[in-house]
Amino acid sequence: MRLRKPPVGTHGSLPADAIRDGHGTSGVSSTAGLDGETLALAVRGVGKVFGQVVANDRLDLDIRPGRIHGLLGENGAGKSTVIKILGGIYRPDSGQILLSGREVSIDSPYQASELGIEIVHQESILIPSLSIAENIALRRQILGRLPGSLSNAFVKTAAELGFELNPNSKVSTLSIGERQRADIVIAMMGDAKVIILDEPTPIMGPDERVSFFAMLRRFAEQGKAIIIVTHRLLEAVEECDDITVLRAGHAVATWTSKTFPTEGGILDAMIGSSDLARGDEAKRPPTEWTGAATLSVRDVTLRCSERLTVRLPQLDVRPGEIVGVAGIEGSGQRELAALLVGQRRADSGAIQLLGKDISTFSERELCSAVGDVPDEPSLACAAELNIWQNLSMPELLWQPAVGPGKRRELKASADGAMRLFNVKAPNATTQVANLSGGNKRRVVLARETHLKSPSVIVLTYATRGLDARAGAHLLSHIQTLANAGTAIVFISSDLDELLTICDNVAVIVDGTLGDTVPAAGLNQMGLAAAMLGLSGADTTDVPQTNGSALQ
Amino acid sequence: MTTSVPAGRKAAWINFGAWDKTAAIGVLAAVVVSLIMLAPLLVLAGVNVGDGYRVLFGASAGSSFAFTSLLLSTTPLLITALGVTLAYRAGTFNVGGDGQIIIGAATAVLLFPVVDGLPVVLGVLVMVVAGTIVGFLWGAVAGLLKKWRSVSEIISTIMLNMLALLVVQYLVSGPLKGKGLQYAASGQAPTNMWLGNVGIGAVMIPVGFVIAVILVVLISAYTYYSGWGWRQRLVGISGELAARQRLKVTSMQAYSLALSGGMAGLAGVLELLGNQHRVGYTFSPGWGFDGLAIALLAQGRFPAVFPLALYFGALHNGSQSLQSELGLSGNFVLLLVGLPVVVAAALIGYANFSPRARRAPASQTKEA
Amino acid sequence: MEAILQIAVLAIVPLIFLSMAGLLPWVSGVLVVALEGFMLLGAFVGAVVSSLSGYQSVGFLAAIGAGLVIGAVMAYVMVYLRADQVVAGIAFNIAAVGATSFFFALIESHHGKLTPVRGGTVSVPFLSDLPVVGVVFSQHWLAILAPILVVALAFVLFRTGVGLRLRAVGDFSAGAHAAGVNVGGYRFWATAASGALAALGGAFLAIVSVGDFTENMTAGRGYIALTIVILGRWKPWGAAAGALLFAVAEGLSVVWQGFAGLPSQLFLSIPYLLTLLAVTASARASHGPVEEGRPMTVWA
Repeated sequence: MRLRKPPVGTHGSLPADAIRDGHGTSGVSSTAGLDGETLALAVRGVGKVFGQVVANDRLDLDIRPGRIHGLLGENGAGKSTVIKILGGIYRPDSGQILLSGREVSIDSPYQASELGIEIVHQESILIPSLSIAENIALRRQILGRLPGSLSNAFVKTAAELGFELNPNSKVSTLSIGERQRADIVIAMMGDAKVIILDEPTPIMGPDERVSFFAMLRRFAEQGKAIIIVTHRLLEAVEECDDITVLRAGHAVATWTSKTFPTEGGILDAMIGSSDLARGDEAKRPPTEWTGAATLSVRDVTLRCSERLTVRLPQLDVRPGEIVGVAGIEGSGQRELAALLVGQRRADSGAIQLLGKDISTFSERELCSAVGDVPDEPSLACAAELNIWQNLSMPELLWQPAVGPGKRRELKASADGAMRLFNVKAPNATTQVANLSGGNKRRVVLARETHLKSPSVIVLTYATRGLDARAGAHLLSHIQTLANAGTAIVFISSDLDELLTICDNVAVIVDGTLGDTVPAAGLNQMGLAAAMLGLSGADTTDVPQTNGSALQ
Repeated sequence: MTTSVPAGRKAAWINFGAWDKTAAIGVLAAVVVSLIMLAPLLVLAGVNVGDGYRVLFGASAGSSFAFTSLLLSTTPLLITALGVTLAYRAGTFNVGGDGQIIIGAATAVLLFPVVDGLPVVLGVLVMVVAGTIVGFLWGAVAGLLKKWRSVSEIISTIMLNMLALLVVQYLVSGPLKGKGLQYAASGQAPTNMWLGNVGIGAVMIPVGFVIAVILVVLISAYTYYSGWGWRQRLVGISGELAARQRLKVTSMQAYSLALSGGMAGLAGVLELLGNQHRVGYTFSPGWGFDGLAIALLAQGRFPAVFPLALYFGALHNGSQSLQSELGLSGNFVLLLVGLPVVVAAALIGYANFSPRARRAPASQTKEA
Repeated sequence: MEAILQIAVLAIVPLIFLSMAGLLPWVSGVLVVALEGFMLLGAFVGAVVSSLSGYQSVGFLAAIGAGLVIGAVMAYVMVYLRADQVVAGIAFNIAAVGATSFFFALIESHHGKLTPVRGGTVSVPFLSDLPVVGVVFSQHWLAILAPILVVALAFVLFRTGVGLRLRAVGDFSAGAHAAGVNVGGYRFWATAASGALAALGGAFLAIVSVGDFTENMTAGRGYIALTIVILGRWKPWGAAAGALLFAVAEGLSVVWQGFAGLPSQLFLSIPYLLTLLAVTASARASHGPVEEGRPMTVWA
């Protein structure tokens, strides 16, 4: 599919081509939009460089009061950096920031909030060991004796937002969702002029999302400017008034007042070329899976915490089959992966690998039989070691000894794997600590899916940290592995991904894994509903809709 | 594979892949800081600075006797430091070297009556093995407490030090007290089982030192090249990572602590048979802590352990002369041992987290 | 009985100062293994200065001052230079033994035998007249101050904004930083204050409890104090209770020495065995501040 170029917006935006060339946004020091309205926040020519990486480059943003402004871009486009600059965590190398027309310098997170900029970070910054009320006191810069009631404003705002939160409960006892809600209440309870939300929606369910955007709309109507960072195109198009797309640290396109192009047009701006269309990839042909399962789980339970018990009634993965595990993050996927790779032992039930109970495998046999791509690269590669040492970990750990000759062999094959997986590093003796997150992940993938030849591979959020292009390559690599007969467990929360590459999908809700159903009969809406436990595992019952614009 | 690259081989064996910036910082810091620090201290003590340096290092150089005495004071340090380094590589701190040394030596003393009639080699072997095993068990207590109850080995090994010292104090002032001694100390080791020297030309090298060097080479080669060594290293780098690679993290740590204790126990026996010949209250002048200081400076790198042990051995060897010839406190040398480690720790911390290190790509990608 | 109480009081006061000195920076995320060295330094400075000046209080003040300065140096090394806190702490303790031994011998060689000034006993009216337990209320004024210190620290940690910030810094420094807290500053001053408190405990040990300075006289009390903090679950009153337990054990071991023909070492080992048992019993159940011992990752 050939994507169209984004059309010209009606309010103050220029053709993407012109902006990309770096000419012609509105006057550099202007503080007003073209319609004369005062901007709540204007970012003018902001640049930020980390070492050799340019995170923001002459970045301009116009944020209007009373509107919801979507900030879109691929990983590494500079979204988080500009937010951290606005939040006072980083200082820009160049450029200026204007708040209600006045130039400000934001030197600390505290100052940002004094200036009326509140940020809800992707990961909560509440102090776990303190109560919500104490967290509020902390931000109020109280040094002396704590006042009795800090929480009145909190309770009031929480009630306004329809959240049930006890300000005296310790943050560590709250769920991730509750922490986020507390963060949002704290951001909203003051009289902030600009509220920035960094990817708030992935951990929300569809219902929550609806009421969340309704709430944002109410706050926008009070005159607050709201910036929301998101990966979800559809969501941005539906809910935002204005959208700015960042790429390579630039604002490459801006559309205002809902004058958006098609999703294809926005995607084109985000990616910068139209050769990539993940949504176009065909689903895998339906196959009748028979034969002995490589990995077979029966009635497994594992109590992880007071909150979470993982229950896996049945899961079978056969050679060549890609079984997706779909679920909202934090539903027990990490623990599920730890069970399947043999790190943790189940409290009850049986996991069979290649027909034998997994507990009968030695560590060494597990290492060679199971490929393990955990969600955090730090669980799979040692920052203190070289790339080749990390890539050769199975041999180094489990051979009785690896002499100099064997080392040279390992280094040579590490070099090959680095090239194949496009690990960007000077050479194989580069310390992994010096690699970016995406490259660390590539090292892990190279080892677990290429250098080892496991019978089963468990991937947890494998595309996270990779840009869209690398993600697409990874997905096709996984399919190649499956076609070669490897059994694959693909744990993800990305509907698109799951429906694209999986043969069968099982949904995990609150630690309980449902039945596996063929992916061919699923659609995004149905799967999303199932992930939220709305219709149990019976996802096929949900009527088919043309939900995704990407397909 | 037959396509070998001859040029690479030698280098791979020599550097053990481990002599790097961090290890160099440790060794340099130790030597430079202690040497610089010494001068003002000598001035304060009213000692001629030149005399001070001459006495301190003259005790270890200049004559073959001095050289032998240097190697003799290096031996227990080297073996203890080797053990502590083993524990350090698994991510644990064995602060209990002193207790393990003295309990190992006391074990050998307990066996004096048993080995008395045995052939010399067998008798020595029995004492060495027994002392090593008891040291191993003493270390294993800390290891198992850590494994089973997550007890910090820093706390438990220090408590075990105190307990070992009390046990030995009881033994050598009571049941094992040497006949006719005015002070509390054990009886003497059978003279035929004393460890002598190996002569290489005019240079006499203590047998204990030879054993120590062989141990360093064997153990460092084993840990660098074996799967066990890599597993241990991975455990030391990150317990979470090692656990995910299905390694038994706490078992490895417990085992490393026990091995470390075994080393210290061995050091005790060798010191007993090679130098002091009896056990008293002050059998170990703090080799456990010194061994720890060496391991910390070496950052777990075996090639750095050897020069550091030799250097600290020279300091200890010289401190006795400083005390006898210039009247300085014997504990004085601890200042020269401890402060460089503080400086090295600061340097290593700064190097790892300096503004330059911060700019490494690793820390940006999260934000970018 | 009175003898036991007297020994226990003399033992508990340094332990209380020391465990509070361990707790304060620990709560903020700094593991001060250097406690032992701070204490030894305080004992040395307190003994020397009180002997030479002839005033006991000058000795205490000098110990506090020296502790604050050395505490600040170590704080800089551990907090801002990000040295490994365990490594730097243990090494500092080794160096402290060397330094105090060296300088004490040096000073005594110039001035002859030093004898710290005794005295300073205060009696609480009425309470000190009670039978048996009266001895507890007729003690050095610092002993009377110790429980007040515990109460004050508890109040600061759990009832004031400063305490809130200290705890926030130890639990989640990035969050505290975002809330406008100077992470490094809190850790630095908590550690420097720890130096002063531990030194005061050491000075009490040398001047009041023992009445002399001897080489390595702290004999592992710094490490014991760290266990007491763990036992007390990082709370001042918990730590005070732990200190009490140890002080009683020490009192018993001294009183029972030579009792019933048992070796004195058996009783002397009680505090150490008790520490091992206590840590074994409590270690797994409790966990300290999340960022304990970790180098600071906040840059501002």
